[in-house]
Amino acid sequence: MLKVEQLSKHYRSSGGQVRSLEQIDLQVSEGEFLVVRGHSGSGKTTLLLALGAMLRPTSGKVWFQGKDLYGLGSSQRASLRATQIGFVFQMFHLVHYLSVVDNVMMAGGRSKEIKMRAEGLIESMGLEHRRHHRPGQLSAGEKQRVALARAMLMRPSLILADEPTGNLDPKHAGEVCQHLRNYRDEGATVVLVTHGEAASSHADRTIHLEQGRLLESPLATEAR
Amino acid sequence: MTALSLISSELIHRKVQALLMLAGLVAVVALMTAYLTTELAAERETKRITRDLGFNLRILPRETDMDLYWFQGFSNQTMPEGLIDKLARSEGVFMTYNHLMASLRQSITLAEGQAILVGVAPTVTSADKQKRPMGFTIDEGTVHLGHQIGLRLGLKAGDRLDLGGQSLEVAKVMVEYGNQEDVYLYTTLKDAQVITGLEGQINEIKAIDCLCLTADQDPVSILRRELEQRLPEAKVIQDRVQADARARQRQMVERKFSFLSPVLMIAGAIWVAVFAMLNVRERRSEIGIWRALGKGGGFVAVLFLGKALLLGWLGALIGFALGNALALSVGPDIFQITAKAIRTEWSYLGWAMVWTPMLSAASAFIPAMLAVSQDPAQSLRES
Repeated sequence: MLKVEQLSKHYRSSGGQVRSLEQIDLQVSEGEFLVVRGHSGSGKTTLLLALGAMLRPTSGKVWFQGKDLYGLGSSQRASLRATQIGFVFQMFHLVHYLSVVDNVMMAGGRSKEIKMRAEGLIESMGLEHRRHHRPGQLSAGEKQRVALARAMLMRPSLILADEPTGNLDPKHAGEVCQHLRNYRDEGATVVLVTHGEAASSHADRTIHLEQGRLLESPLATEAR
Repeated sequence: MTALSLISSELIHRKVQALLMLAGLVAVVALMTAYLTTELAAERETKRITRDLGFNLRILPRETDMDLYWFQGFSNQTMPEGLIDKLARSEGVFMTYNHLMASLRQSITLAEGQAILVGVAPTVTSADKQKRPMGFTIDEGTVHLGHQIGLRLGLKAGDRLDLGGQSLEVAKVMVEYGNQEDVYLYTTLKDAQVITGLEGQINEIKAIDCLCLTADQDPVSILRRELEQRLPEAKVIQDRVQADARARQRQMVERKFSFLSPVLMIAGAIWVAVFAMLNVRERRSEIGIWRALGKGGGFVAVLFLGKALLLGWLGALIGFALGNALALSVGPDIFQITAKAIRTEWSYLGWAMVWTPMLSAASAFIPAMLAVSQDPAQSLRES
């Protein structure tokens, strides 16, 4: 499903060059739930954005379903993001002026089928009573479930989740992880980055990232 | 959701910002509409005032003795009456001249004193411009007496006066003008020709100069060059002071507009651009998520430019209504001579509906491009 070869990402900043990712090699199998753990600033989000065709690496390659992501044109990458990759973020990134149902439907078109699918996801997330509410009227847990529903709408084969439980209490964090686990059980691949430990209990495998590098075994890879 | 419904929802969500952006557009359109509507009145009023300054061109027979002309006030030569038609028919004449009025002026002796008999023909104007005739109308068989002549003859309106075997009714005794017109007698051209025995002759065509050039732009040379081609039998002289005053007044009005309108447009454009920029900053996370969901730059541009266009149309409609209300309520007090002529100019609505969205979209263009080119990964990380 995903293969990363010698992936590096360096930034220039006022304090000099920042080596956000350094020669990462990684393989994620189809149907795998992978958790990437690391402290703040370890390069987790950068890795996730690079995996999601959102951030061109400085060097190295990212292969998704056999395609070199950054060998594709930007419109082809956009098309992949629209159909094959779903994103979930710590800050939810819901659109404030849209209702719950419209936020979920952002990812799709306006067809009857998409609408029905969106309604189904909202129901499965236990948000049917909130469907016409705006994000400002929702709790953090509800917002993250809306973001999850949005990420799942197009039935992507890969979901990339960036600290999806970072702003949630343990109960809601557990719910979100369970939803991701359920989605993975339907055959999709999930990559979740987090600095906490809770998500690892849902993962097939956990790897550790530190200062832009993957740590070697036994800490680097913990098979479940 | 369609782009339109997304734009409408966002407008409602950020209503204060949208209202401020709209207010800028409304202000520009309202001021432009009010300005243009009253400007038309100002232009009409300026034209009326400058026209009332009187004729400033005199076309005389070519052989006129100018020493004698300035001494006695009329040409000692005559030319055929048909020349006015020849002039009026020549192509483009009304671009240079307007209100052509043929007259025959002769000195006559009246009650042991001198007077000047002026026979005037109706003014000839451009058929397509529908200009109102200048001066007063004289009916055949009637005479208008200058103030001094009225005093000398002791006549009043309704009395009769015999002139060269013609019995004329005094239509009115004119008020005292304080110039040579006080010793004039006005009749129709035909009556004057009969009285003086100069049938079919005129000795002056008065006109208004349409070039509206100031003295330093040397309009006389242009007028003379043109008349040489149109009417070689005649020559033209210009009342320089009067023509210059008229030209300066007209040019001042035009310059005022050409200065004010860009200032208003630029101020409006800056206003819209500032709010569009703020809007892009506020919506960084949204832009990032749209891009993450696979929407292209075109879609993001449509959201921002579409909003600008929508506000532009709204601004045009509200601004036009407001500007009109302003012009119709304040205009008549300012432009009292042409107050009745101040009316809704519907053509401005068309212009406003085209130009305001364009101005608004052009102002939002840079912010929209900024939104499109924004790195979505960076936006998502920072927001």
